[in-house]
Amino acid sequence: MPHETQRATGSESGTWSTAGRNRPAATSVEELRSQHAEMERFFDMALDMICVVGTDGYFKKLNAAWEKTLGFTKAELFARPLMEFVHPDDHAVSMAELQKVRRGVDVVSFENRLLHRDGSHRWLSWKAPAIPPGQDFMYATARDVTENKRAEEELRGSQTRLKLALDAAEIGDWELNLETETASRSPKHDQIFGYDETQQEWTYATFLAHVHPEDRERVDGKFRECVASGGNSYFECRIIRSDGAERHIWVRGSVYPDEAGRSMRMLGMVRDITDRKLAEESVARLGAEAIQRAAQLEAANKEMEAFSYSVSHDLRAPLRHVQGYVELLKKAAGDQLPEKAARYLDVIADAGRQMGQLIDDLLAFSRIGRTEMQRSTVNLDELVQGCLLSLESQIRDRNILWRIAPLPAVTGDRALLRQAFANLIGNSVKYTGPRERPEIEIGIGPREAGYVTLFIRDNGVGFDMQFADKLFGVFQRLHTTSEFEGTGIGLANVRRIITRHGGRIWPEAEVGKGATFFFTLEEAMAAPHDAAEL
Amino acid sequence: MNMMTHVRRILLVEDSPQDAELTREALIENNVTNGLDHVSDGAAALDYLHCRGAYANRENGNPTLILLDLKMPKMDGTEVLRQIKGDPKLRTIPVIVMTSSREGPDISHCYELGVNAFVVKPLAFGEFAEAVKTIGVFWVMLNEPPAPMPAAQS
Repeated sequence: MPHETQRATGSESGTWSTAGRNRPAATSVEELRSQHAEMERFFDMALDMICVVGTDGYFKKLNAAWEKTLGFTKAELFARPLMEFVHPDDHAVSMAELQKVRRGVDVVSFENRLLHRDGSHRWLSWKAPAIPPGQDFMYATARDVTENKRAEEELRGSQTRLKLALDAAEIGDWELNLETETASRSPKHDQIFGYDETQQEWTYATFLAHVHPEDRERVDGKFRECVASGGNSYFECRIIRSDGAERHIWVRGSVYPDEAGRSMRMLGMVRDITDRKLAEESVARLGAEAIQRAAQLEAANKEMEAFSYSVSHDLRAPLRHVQGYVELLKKAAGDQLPEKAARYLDVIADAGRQMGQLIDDLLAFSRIGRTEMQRSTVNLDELVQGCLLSLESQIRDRNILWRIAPLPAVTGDRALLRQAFANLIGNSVKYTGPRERPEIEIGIGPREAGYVTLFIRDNGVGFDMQFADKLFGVFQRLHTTSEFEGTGIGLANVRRIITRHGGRIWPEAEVGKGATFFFTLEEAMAAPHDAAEL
Repeated sequence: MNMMTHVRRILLVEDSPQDAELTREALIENNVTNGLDHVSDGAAALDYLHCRGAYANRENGNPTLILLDLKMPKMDGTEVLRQIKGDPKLRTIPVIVMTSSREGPDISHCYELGVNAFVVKPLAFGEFAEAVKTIGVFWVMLNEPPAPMPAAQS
């Protein structure tokens, strides 16, 4: 503010004598005084800030609103030029506005910040009529708009956040005038419908034309219902984009009534949910496929069961008859049967018995793959002792040297594991038959990823490792029946059992030196009482 | 032996003539000399028990024991068993199911229906004869049946 202009001389509170050019004529000093006092009262009652500023830039007159708004006393305000209260950032614009007033232009709604006594600033909105030529002061009113400014700031902030959120969520927004059914939209809205450039005009009909023909009636119903009820609407539908692509969208809309309660406009959002829909569809499809596969598997299992049932019934019956009638024939012929013929009958009976064993083994093998596993913690020390007890009749006179390490507990089906161990131990007992000093060792190998390696080793006849892959096949034998008894299904069973437990089995052997079978089983978490025993 | 005046008969329900013959031989071999009546399917078994059709004129009275095969044409053994055990006039007759295998859901199902024993026919005739003998000795000679009832009328 220019300082070369002369300073006003009035009292601190200022006087109307400097301000009033067109004051009403007074008839007496008394009347004048009373009018003056009344004017002063009104002046101070005004909520807006009113002032007179001299060309020297100092306040010449102020009302009480100034003190209230800026916290300074009138004396403090009079003491410094107005410009010193203006926020430094607003100096330039404020000076420019002041020049305008001087040049004879009215200033309306100019906003700048003025210092508050507490160091903060207040936003003021100014109104000042142009200064006529020859007048050396300015009348001005100002209004504290700090709160409005803050609200505006907040609104702008929340609008920015809303826009960010809509952008991030790829949501388009729209506002529909329900009288004209034309809509204003965000660019994203039009992009969702396949338009990179925002369209000139968009009506409800435009939208409906994009909706998939099969969904159109439902969507229109939803829309009409929402408008009629004046409430909210949410729906999903398919659209045909401008490029012909079929997409899925959801739409939300809310009707806002005017003051008379009529539904005038509808605000809403739209989003492309094609990816989600496709994901949902593929999840549903996968689920259906899984259910179907489970059903097929169950049907296959049922069929297998029925097949096994048939096999065991229908194959065993004729075998029983063969054996039965051989027996009856022997009895009927009595002593008259030549020795040779008697031997033939024995062979027939033996063949029948063997075939019966094969059928039983095969059925048992198929059962191992089918029956549900009953998982529990299995103490292998006990399990092995149980196996030895059941093999007692074969072990009794064999003078076998047993080396059995303390074994861990594993997780698995007790009955199946028992079968596997009994088979492997039984094999060792069987194939050490020719040895004078048979030795069988049961021990533990390395542990890995929750699985423990176990092994059963013997110094029996062993086998050639080049046939190792044949070992686990059904009815595969590396020895003739005359050498060692058996149908050749034992190791197939063992492998099936170990595999069903998530483990592996592999052999190491040498002809004449013996064989070792390694296999892995899931080790059980040590039970507290086991730990105490250690 | 029992003191009953009428002959204690065994009803064999068996579709295979060979099995029927082997069973008969096994019984003879083991001196279970009760009369053996053989029917070859489930429907005939029920006719026999209810004294109807071909059996309208048979000597009245329930058999002492029923040996029942499961796998039979027309009406299978479990259905015959269900009807016998569901009939107040028949259900006290001991029924032994004799079948070829232990495969399938038969065992528990038969017990649910009230079978008195379930026997898998051994393959070897010696063992089979032994099983038939054991059954005969126990159920016909040792076991005391409930008071005799007149045969059920249809």
